Amino acid sequence: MKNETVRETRESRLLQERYDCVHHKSGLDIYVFPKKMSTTYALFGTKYGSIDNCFRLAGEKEYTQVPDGIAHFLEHKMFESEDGSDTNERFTRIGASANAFTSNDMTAYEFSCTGHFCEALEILLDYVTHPYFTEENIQKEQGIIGQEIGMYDDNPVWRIYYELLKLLYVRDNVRINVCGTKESIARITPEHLYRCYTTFYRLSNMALVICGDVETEQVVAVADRILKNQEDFREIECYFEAEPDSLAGTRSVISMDVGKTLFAIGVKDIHPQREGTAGAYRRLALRILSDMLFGEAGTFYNTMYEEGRINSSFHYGYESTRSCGFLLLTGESDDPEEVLRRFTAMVEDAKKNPPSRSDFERLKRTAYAEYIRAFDSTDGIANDLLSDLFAGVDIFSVGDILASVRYEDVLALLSDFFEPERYAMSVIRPDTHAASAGEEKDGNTKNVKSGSTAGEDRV
Amino acid sequence: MKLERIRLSNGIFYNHAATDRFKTGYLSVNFILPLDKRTAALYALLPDILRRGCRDYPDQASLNRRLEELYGTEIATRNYKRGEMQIIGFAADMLDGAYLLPDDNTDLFGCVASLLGELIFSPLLTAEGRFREDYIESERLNRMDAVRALINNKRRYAVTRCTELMCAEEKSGVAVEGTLAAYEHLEVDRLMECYRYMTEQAQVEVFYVGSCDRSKAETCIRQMFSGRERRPDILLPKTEIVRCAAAPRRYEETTPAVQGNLTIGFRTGTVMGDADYLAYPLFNEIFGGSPASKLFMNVREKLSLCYFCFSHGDTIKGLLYVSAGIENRNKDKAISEILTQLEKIRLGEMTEEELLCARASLFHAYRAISDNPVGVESWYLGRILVGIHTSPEETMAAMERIGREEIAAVARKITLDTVYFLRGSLSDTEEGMEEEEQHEE
Repeated sequence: MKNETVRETRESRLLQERYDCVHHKSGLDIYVFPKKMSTTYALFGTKYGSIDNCFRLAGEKEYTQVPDGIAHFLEHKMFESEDGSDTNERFTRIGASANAFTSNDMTAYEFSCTGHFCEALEILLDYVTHPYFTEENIQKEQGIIGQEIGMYDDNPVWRIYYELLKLLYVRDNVRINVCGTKESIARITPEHLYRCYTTFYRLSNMALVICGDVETEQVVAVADRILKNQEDFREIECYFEAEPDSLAGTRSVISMDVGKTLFAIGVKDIHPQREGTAGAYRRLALRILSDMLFGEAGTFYNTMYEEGRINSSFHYGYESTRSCGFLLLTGESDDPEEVLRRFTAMVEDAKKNPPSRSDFERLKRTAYAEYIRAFDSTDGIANDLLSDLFAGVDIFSVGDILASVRYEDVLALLSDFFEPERYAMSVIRPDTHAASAGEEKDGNTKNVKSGSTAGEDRV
Repeated sequence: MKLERIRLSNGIFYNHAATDRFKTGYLSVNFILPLDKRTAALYALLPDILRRGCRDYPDQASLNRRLEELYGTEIATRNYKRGEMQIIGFAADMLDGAYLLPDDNTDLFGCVASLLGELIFSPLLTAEGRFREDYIESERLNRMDAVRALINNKRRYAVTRCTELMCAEEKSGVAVEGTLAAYEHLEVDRLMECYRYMTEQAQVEVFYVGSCDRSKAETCIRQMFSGRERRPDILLPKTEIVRCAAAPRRYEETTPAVQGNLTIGFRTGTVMGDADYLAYPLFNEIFGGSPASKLFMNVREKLSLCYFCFSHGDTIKGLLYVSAGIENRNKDKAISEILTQLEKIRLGEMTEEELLCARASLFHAYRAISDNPVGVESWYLGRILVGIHTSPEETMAAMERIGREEIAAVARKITLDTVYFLRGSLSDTEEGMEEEEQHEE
């Protein structure tokens, strides 16, 4: 690692977009994606999430084990500063809106602004590089996060997701709730937080992505001013226990205060591939395959819908982390066992009578359109760019990888991926409590911004 | 972003926001109906039935396949209320025409507009001129599922219940999603009557945000409505405004949940279109609209009572809500702190910093509107419903002169109406007891 700034530009003719990659002398990689929009969005992320609870730096003898939920707790505490100034207020007074989120393998701090960009960027780089943890401010946060945990405990989407992960995985840390539990966060000390911070918030483990009407020079100038050069470049070593191919269980049924029975069917991916082109290819192929099997134009969805076994709340998608991958199908049904039975039968039938090449071509085109449409908002672009980066993929190459996906490979995945012994299902049944009718779209939720997808949590 | 508004015929308006900012085109058709408990369920059901199929694409499978061919265009149904109006319709998201695959000359906008027209005006009807019974029945059951599922989101449910109780004697108290009872005793025979009202008489607001040429887009939209019978222009449904609450009411219900959900409902006394309205959004920002607001800074950051505490509401009807997720035992403490913060604003106790933050954060939100097609639609449609056509830029300019006194003045018009608490029974501790709570499955 050299302490000098190196810059290159990547372009996409398909998208008519470009972005600059800067390896900054401080050790931080910076990505600037110019976009003529009103808002400029910045995302400062570290490859550190709820799964990283046991780690050391290269050369250290012992691994450090930390309490569950600490990455998320740390994210909350970064908003605290030594001089007592309120980070949110610093952003708000210049018209910038700040937030942060933690997922199972990433933590990121963000702001969007429509002016005063350089000042906002200064604040972002400043507060994320200046931790301040005390017994007292930790205690205060335990009350707030305790209520956040309570909120998620009452959220059936969140609950059914973790119930399913506990079935699919025997040891993988993806089973651990991003927020931890009230008991686990009660054990967090300032020393834990500093230890996690100094390990994972080193600039070489982080990336800064900016999307908006800005120049790369402006960004680099702010980084030059605020960031100190990293000196310690020891590798981070996370310890993960080996995950077997088998499942921890196949069924979980809990009851909650919900309107109708909810189900989540999971398919464990025993050959997850996160990194690089191969990983992206596999995710895209799985996406097209899922659309062929479960899509809204397909026989399975429409038969089940017309029979009243599922409704429009039915969703599916493939998810992956650094260590694992799984396909998730969720929805409401009075008879989840029947849904699972029909799902299994349909997949077995598809192995014998595969979906047609024309279905494949049509759905590949749909995926292509979705890829292009994702370049429509500054926050969307920055988030996609960062998660692709952390998976070792250039966002512009995703379009080419998609174009290269072959029908034959998708069919091969059909037999390889779907094996009934890798299926599990979690179910939430309604409590006896009778819900009464109601209405109302909710209003402004600016300062809540609770993540709509389970498994990711926002400040 | 400039909006061009064109009257196409009696009560049908086309709103065109030209922009080349997006790789997506957004097209929506909105029918503005009076909110009424006798028709809410019927209207809520109509878009769902229409979305099941039309003459050319008689079922979901063929319709969705067509949408996939159109580069994965999405057509979603909508049903929500603003003031005492029920708004139903469809919104389509499509790829911008500039990004079609090489050698593809499809007129994507034209195809989507024509498909939307088909869905709305060429439904599948039986020989007797009724909607297909199987579609009605299956969507009726799905609607009942959706009503039951309201409890799945406790915070939203608490707001819904608060509104029902607070506005029990007003149209605003009507559940726009319909009720289980309404679907159980659905007057199927009235569906066609409601459909005719929607297509022939209700005010229609079409929005397009995208790069398609204005005259071309207008031609497509005109085609969609051509030859449709329309009654003479009718006025938009009126919203009854209760300026001041009677004596405050308190309600509590219990549900199996870990957290308690508090919703406090107020009458604002100020609604969009009033001479002093422009101070209201600034008030809301200071009160509970941003992470620098009094509610966030005090109820959450200072007292650690909650994870979320924020204010929101319906500016057409003049309703303000504060929502907070708290421990049961902190209910009174939270209510008292929320009311204290409101009182401070009434007394003009706002620092320069708070005023600065409120303006900066609100103006940021206004400037960001043009980055989001739905934001553009929602800004203008919300105003069209009360006969206003100002842009975010004009609104910001007009707000420049508003200061502490104007904000305190709108705050003084706010009256407490209803405190609703949804107690979570899974973590009940005795009042005053501090020990760890038991979590039950």
